[in-house]
This record gives sequence, structure tokens and C-alpha cells, in this order.
Amino acid sequence: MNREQLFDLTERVKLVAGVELPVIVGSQPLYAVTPHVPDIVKRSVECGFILLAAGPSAFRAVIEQIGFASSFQETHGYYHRSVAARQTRRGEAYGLGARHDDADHRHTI
Amino acid sequence: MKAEETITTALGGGVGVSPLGSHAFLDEFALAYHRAVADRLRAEPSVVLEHARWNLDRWTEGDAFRPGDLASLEEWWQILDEAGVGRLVELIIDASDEGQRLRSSSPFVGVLSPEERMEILAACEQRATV
Repeated sequence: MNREQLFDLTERVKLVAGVELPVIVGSQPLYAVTPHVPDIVKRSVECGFILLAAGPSAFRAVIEQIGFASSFQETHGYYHRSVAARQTRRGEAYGLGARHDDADHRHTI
Repeated sequence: MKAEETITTALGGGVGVSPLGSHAFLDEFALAYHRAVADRLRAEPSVVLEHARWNLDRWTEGDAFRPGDLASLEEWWQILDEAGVGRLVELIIDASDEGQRLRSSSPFVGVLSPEERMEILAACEQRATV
């Protein structure tokens, strides 16, 4: 997954789940440090997010609309994978929030 | 309230967490989806394989992926070129970590209809909440 795909997913997560600041977990937060991420990060076609304080309907919505085997994945080739805060695997705790600045269309993570 | 409980509650991770928001659920959903794909693959191999190659074609030729991002898609190209139907079925329903890794970048999305996908999702959710 490249940086553009990551930000595209982040914006879609915010819309679909109604979460203002989804937390990116897994290896993708490395994009916050450098655009030159290891190949192992780029080869993944999924990105994990923690949805803070999200209910069942939010999780169902993201799976249905932008999750595995969704029409979104079929169209674009990548997809979203959300977990609740207490469901993260060991080693995922270094997630970072992602923010989109509408003023100049830049993203910061 | 203890400090640990306070943090968990603030993160929305207290009682009532959705089973849909777990790695176990998402892994089970992907496996269940591929079990259904495996049935379709046995019944209509040429149709299913054509769809998988069509997906890989579109994804690799589109703008979303750059040359350096294509490793997992290229891996699937190689698998589709080299594996027979029987071996493909084994791979996509393999319950090991390796099977899970391959399913995560599966080109078989869209082989099932949206309605079939939703039925599988609902069945997985029902099992998870029992």
C-alpha cells in the first residue's frame, strides 16, 4: 500500500464509520516517518485501523463498504480492516492518527 | 475506577465491543468467503480464474498501484499461472498463517455476488455472537 492509498482509505473510514480520527495500526504508520518505507509495507493491500468508541454498526458498515471483498476492493485492489481498541495484536500499539487538512489538501500523520 | 479501566473505557474498549471489530472475526470472514470461492472454483474453474486474472489486470494496470507496490499482486499472478485448481483450492482455504497472508491480497474478490458476500458476513457474525 502506498501513501496515497493509505490516505484515501483514511478519508473513507472517517466517512463510513463516522469517526473523526481513525488510528492507523500495523506497519503503515511508518509513512509518518519516511516516504521510503520497506517493501514489506508496500506489498500489503490492506490497512488496519482502530476505531475508537465505535459500535457494531460502524464496524459492519466499514466491512460492508470498504472491507475485505467489498466492491471497493474489487474496484481499487486495496481495502480497510478495522478493529476495536482492545482487539489489537501485540506490537500494534504504535499506531498514529491521520488527519486531512482541507485548507490545502495536505495530510499529516 | 482503576486506572486501567479508565483507559479501556476511554478507548471504547469496554464491555459491548463488537465481535466484528476483532482480528479473529475478520480472519474467519475471509476464510469463510474463500471456502465459498473454493466451491465455485471446483464447479466453474475457467469462470473463476478468468475473474481473478481480470482483477489482477485492472489493479496492476490502473493508477492506484506503483511498480514498487505490486509484489503481492505479482505473487498471485505466479500462483495462478503455476497452480492447478486442486492446489489453488488448498491454498485459499489453508487455515495457516501463510494461507491467511495469501487471502489478505486475494484476487478472488467479486467472484461471489454482493448478496452472497453479505450472507457469509451475516453467518460469521451470527457465529461470533452466539
